[in-house]
Amino acid sequence: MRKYVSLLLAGAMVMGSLSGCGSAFEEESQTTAAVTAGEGSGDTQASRESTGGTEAVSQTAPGNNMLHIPAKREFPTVDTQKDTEFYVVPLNIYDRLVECEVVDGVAQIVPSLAESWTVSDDGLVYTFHLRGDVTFHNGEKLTADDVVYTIDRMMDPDTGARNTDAFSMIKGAKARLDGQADMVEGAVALDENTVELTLEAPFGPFLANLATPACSIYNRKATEAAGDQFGIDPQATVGTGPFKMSDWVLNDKLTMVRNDDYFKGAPKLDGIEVIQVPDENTQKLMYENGELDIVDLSSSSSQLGYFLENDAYKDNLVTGPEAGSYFYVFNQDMKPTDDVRVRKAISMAIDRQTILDQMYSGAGHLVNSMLPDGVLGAYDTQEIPYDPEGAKALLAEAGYGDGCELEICQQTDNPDALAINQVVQSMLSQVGITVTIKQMDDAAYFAERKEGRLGMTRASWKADFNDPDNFLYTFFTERNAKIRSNNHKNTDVYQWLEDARAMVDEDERMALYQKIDTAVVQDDAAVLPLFQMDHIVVVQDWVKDFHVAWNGWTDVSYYTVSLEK
Amino acid sequence: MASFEQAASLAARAAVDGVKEQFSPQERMEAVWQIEEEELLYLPKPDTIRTKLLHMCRENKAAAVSGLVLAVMAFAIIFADKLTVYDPNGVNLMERLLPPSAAHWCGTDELGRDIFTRILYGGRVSLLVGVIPTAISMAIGIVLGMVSGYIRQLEAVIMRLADIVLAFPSIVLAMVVMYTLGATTTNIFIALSMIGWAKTARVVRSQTLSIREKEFVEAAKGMGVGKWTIMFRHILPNCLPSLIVLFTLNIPDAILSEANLSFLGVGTQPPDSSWGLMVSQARTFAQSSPWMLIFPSLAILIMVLALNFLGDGLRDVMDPHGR
Amino acid sequence: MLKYITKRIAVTIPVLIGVVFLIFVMLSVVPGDPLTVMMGEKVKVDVIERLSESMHLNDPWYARFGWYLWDALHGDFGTSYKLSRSVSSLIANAFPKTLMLAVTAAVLSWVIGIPAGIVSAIRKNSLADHLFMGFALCGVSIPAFSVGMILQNVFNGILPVSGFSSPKHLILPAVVLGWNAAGTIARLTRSSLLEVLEDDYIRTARAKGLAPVSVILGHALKNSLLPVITMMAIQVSSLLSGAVITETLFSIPGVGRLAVDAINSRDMPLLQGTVIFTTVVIIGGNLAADLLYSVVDPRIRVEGGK
Repeated sequence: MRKYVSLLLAGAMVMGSLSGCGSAFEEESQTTAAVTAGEGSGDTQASRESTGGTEAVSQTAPGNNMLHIPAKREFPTVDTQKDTEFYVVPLNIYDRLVECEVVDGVAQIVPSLAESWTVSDDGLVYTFHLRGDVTFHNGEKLTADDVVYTIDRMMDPDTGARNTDAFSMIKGAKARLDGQADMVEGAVALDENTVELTLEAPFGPFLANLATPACSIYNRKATEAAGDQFGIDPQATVGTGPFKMSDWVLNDKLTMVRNDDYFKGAPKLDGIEVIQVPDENTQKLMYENGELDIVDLSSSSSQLGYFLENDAYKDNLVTGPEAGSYFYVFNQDMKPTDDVRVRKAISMAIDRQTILDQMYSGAGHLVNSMLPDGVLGAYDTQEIPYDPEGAKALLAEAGYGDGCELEICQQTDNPDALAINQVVQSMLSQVGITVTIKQMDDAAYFAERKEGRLGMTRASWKADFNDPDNFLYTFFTERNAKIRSNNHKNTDVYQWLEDARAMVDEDERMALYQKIDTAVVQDDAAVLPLFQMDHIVVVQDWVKDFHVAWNGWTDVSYYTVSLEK
Repeated sequence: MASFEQAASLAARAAVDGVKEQFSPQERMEAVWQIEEEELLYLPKPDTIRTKLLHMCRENKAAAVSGLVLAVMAFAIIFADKLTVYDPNGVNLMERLLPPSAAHWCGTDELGRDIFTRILYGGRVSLLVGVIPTAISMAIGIVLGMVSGYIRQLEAVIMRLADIVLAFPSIVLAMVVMYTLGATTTNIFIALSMIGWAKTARVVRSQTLSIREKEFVEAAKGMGVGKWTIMFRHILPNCLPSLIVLFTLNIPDAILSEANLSFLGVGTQPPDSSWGLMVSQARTFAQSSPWMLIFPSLAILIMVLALNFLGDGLRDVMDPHGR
Repeated sequence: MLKYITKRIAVTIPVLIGVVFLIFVMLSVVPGDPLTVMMGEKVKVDVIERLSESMHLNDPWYARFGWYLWDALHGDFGTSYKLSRSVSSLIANAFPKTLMLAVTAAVLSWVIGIPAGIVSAIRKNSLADHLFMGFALCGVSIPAFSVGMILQNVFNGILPVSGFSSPKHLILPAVVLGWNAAGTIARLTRSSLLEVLEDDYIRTARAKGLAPVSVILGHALKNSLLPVITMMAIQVSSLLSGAVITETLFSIPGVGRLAVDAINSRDMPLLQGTVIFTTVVIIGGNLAADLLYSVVDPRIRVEGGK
């Protein structure tokens, strides 16, 4: 072995010297590149210039005031009605009637395309007054008809939309989707600048919901003309947002350029390049090269330790809230987790603090509820203890004194889940539980989950909109409990979740959600909340005014960001 | 890749086969006789093979050393539990990502597991994946190759089947098989066997085609010996030298294929490990903890290199026409 | 010659149908829910049911296979489920990248492999021979992704490590692929040159007093390159069919990556399309190799007659 080590060292030295030569050669060619590129890269300091030069040659977009951000997977489309996962482009090229922004430290609904609105006393009728000065990228003026069109397009069965839940609470929307109506009854343009939306039943989080990317407003003329190329063809995809899509090389990069006519004023960036970089280590390498300006470590968590423990990056870390958490879901239709004592024992046998400290560099805090900090209704609750002895006692009480077997399921290509599952596997073996980790490909995983047959799984949820409903309804109604594979059996909770949706009084509503949360987490131990991570983003020195979104999404609007190179 | 070379010789042979089909039977016989004269045909007795091996060890130092290296590696892998004090899956969060030291010869990984230990245990998977699918695929290939070379009615069907397999980009076919059957070690055997047989079948077929025209086969036929007996008693032994070479050179292919599958996420499944999987898991830590990447890579390199040297040496002594 | 080519192409068609059939059957019997994967995790169950009905995904596999063949015969290879673009356009966009990478890697492998093979053959058993051949064998003995990852980390900051937006992005992936291919080429050149050098006519040429270098370059090399040329054709077709691993590692938007993504997201039309495409490329490459062989070597004539 020793011989190999010395061989290896020799090899490393050779490679090192090679790379030395390489860099010398590189600088020369860079200089040429900078000269050919003409203006643009001449006024920055030499060290940064090498990377700027590369870009100046390869880029089609103007100047070097472009922001470069990574994406791990390619977007199927940027039509948010047809995609439920990737929002970075929609957030930058479209606008919503209202937006959710952090004002004075609190996430609030603020005006956007709608400058004001009123809600009827029964909570059923919402009237929005649109700004009169908004134009789409194709020059069309925004009118109330565009809003009606947007809603109708989503619910039109011919569209094949996948985000239909965004408008399904509007009166007549479901009938439209089922083909029983030609239009959405509850969406009406009162005049050119006024839209009236009538709901089927009161829906507390309606405004928050309208601020989600799924509710981006489209232009009737452009969208109808684009047909199925909307969201695919950069030129045909038209919104009102601060950036316009200009180019899209599939599996390589998508380019957006500045919209000079943006109604809130033109953005400071010339544009944004979203570069496909599936691998986290490669993202880090490219950041170090200066090829990427911003890397979100919450979606590159394997690199968290590297950046946190390296003093050189101390000033490059931007921290913000993350309105979401990680947790384990137990399946109550499977042995041994059908017994609440076993669920509690498992919860007590997992040393969450050590996992957080060692695997995630302690960048976060433990949570004991489904409602993470920063979400409406978050509250202080009793801590779930780490107590292996107590866990053993509970297991013995449940009849598993001699140990038992447990299945943890996960998707195949998920190294982060695999790492924590393996740690939990070893922790649970200390209390006599033998864990098998079952990795399933995505198709099998979702099929089993839909049928309620998935074993214990690690899950995470980040707020779509700022309301406890988004966390609790998603997992614990009778139907969702099955399709989320927890099979939670508390009929009180089912009822309370429906009741809360119809409540108008905010304080009462939050109190009810807290009651639901306590029942689910503390009493029934249907899930084991793990931790809420700090949202840490590493940004280059030259990136100014970057803020983490209120909900901790990686996908944000870069409207306010500027570069000072 | 060794497969390229095989493909080249296969293509050359296929070209010759193509030629043969164009010729009249008389012309074909002439061509075959000509090949026959060049070919040293023998019924290999055990002592012939042994003599050849000894000859190889004397003449080809690289092959001899490779054989030795392989023996040492096989020993270490088989007796892994005696050679290390660690549990290959023993998670220890307090000892994450440690560089190589006296306690951990090759360092530790992101869950604090000893990499040297995991290389030893992972070698079991890599070695099995090298040997078993190769054996299975060659067994299938031998039978189908002989049948298609000897029973002409079946030739078209079998060879078109082989064409389908060979025309498929092999890694994609393997991925689809792994998806269909599910990612388990047994299914890796099946996937790699499904890909591998076609090559063997073509080699065996072309050899069968030439051997079936030999006098001793004709004689056996004349004496009323059955087809299957002729195939297994008379034809197979004559293919043996090239099969041994093919076997040695197919193992590294299989090992590399498993590594590729693991890299793409459909090979060996954690917490089990194979060398390919270890390299692939090292990806996210490659820069900050290079030992996670380097040691398993070295393990693959050394084993595959040794197998290739050995295969080359064997070919030189056993199969003068293998190139 | 023409007859031979026609025959070879005719034989190809059942092979292609067989390939498509194989994929179709295999993916149709897989348990699981490809629709959720296709449409994203957050899509609600009833939306999925509605859409799968409208896309005829609930039909039995043989019906879908029939429709697929029918459409394919009319030049319509379907629309990718995941990327909502026509499969032909996706492949048409990806192929130039794969082509560029393949050509660069192939040329690199020839430039390195052939001279290395010649030197090794001429100086058989010298130090140079052992060094070159050791280097060549290493190239074929280490997984491409190991080499790729090591290069990425060593050359980070000097060369681009991911993506495909400038010629520089080609360097590292081409080295990874080229090393592997160069190894094969070098070994083949060496062994085939050695074989030729043993032949009678070379001995005669030497006996006639021709200098060794001109013997090698004038006579032996030309003949020994025949198998190498065949190999080159096969290698190029193999590279063109998508260097799956290298493209994945370096995020190159080529055909190989398209195929891997299609498998991962169970994107049937895209997978079918890429598989048909790569199969055609491989078959075409092998055919080209055969023809090349017969063209450059007068001893083998594919068409009968004396």
